[in-house]
Amino acid sequence: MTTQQKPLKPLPTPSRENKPFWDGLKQHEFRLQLCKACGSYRWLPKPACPNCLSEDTEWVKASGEGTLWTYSTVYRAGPAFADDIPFITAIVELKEKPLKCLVLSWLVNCKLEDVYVGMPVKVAFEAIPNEDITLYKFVPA
Amino acid sequence: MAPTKQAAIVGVYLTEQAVQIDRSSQSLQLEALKGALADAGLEAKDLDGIIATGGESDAGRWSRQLGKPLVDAGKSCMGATAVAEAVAHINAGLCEVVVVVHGNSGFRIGPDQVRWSGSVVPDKAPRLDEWNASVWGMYIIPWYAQMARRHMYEFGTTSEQLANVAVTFRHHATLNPRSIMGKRGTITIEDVLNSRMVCEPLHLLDCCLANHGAYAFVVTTAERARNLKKKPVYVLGAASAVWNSPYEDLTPNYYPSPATITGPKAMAQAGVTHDDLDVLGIYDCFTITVVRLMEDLGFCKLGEGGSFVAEGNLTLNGKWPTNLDGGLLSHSHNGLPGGMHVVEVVRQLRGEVEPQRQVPNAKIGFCHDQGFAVLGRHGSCVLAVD
Repeated sequence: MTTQQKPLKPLPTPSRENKPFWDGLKQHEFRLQLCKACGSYRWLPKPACPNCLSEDTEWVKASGEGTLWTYSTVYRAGPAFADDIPFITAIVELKEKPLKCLVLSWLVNCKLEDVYVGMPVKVAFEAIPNEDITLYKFVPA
Repeated sequence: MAPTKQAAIVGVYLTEQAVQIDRSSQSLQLEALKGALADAGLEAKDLDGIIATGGESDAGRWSRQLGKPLVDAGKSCMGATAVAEAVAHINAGLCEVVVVVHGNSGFRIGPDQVRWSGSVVPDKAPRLDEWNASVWGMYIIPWYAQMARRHMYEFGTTSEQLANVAVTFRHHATLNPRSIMGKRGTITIEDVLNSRMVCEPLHLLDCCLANHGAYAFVVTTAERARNLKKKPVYVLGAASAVWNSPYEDLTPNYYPSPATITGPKAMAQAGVTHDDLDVLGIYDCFTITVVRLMEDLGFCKLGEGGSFVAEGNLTLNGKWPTNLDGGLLSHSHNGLPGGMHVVEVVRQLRGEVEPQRQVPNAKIGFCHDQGFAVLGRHGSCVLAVD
């Protein structure tokens, strides 16, 4: 067994229920649940619509566009993230309405001095080496 | 009509609070539990309910330790929320004497929350829950930093205004010989702004401590309280509410938080308004937390929390003296520290703290705790003495 000198970043464990989302990332699609009863998008994924509690849902390709709702520039982090310091944690408000879809991720490919609340951003995809998973990040639009 | 005395806090206790304590969590908790009972003039045999979380402690383990079945009276973040839970259980007749106890000697608030078993770092990435924010390098401080950034964007709140909270509570800590940071002396706004940036816009001194220690308090009926050792501190109102899953789902908006529900509920039960409150204990894990809570609890309007704290309202001589022990920022944050504020407000109302930090003639106090980053879980209570 080979061992890394540095711990690897943790990864999420996709659920069966949300497989369409994680499959979408591999195809470079950011998918959202759309309630077929009331037309609301929702995030995080949930079994039922928080607006009307309907479980009649379809996964649709979302715009992947939004604005930076808030962020933090992080100067202290665990060992798995040590090489990334400073990094920008971001909460992005997606274009999709009417419910606010606030997505937590990172803002990358952006100078620290260029970040501001309200800046247009779009989703980007990162296939993790040696793992069967693709993650989502945001970049300036 | 006089408000109902729903129950009373009859005993409180703090162990030593320190950066490192070379004892087990259980040892600290036992000292706190025994100490709170002794403060009330009660014995372990009088207990029939418990609220204990944190570390490996839980009601079941305590029932074995105490050698008797107990009512598991709540699972809370241990401050005003635990008061609300204890009062509800007592008034429902499920139990009569509840101890709330928390303590630990292993707490760290840092970013190293993702751990591996064994000494060898695995060659595959560790897998977490589906939406676990640690995937993004998140830990407690970035959550609150993001809230602070949004508040600055929406309301023009400044780092200088936030720093006032840290400066005020450090001053209070210098008046409390048992506080961890008091011995280092007072700090200025410049000191806060010049401390190193941890997660922008929060500096090191915008953040609370992360240390060891324990506390406990005992709640019982108002009737039983009258015949115990210390002056009863009555619970006139208490409420709790929750509004997100911790560190995972994002509250759709930071405003309003459930503090807008719990604060008015507790005050309405007590028949009091803000102007009636003599002393406050407000959860202060970060400077921004206090700013937001003062807004949502109605001490000032939404967006005005920054100027409210900068005006000195929370100082010992201000309109609402707050966290006179030094708070989580400068006294102690021992993991689940909501009960620290309850202990301090009880002691203030009894008039038994050091004279230099005693609010003269304090009759009515208010405590608020929160948890589940950020502002996801809340409890409020109004406490009073005759």
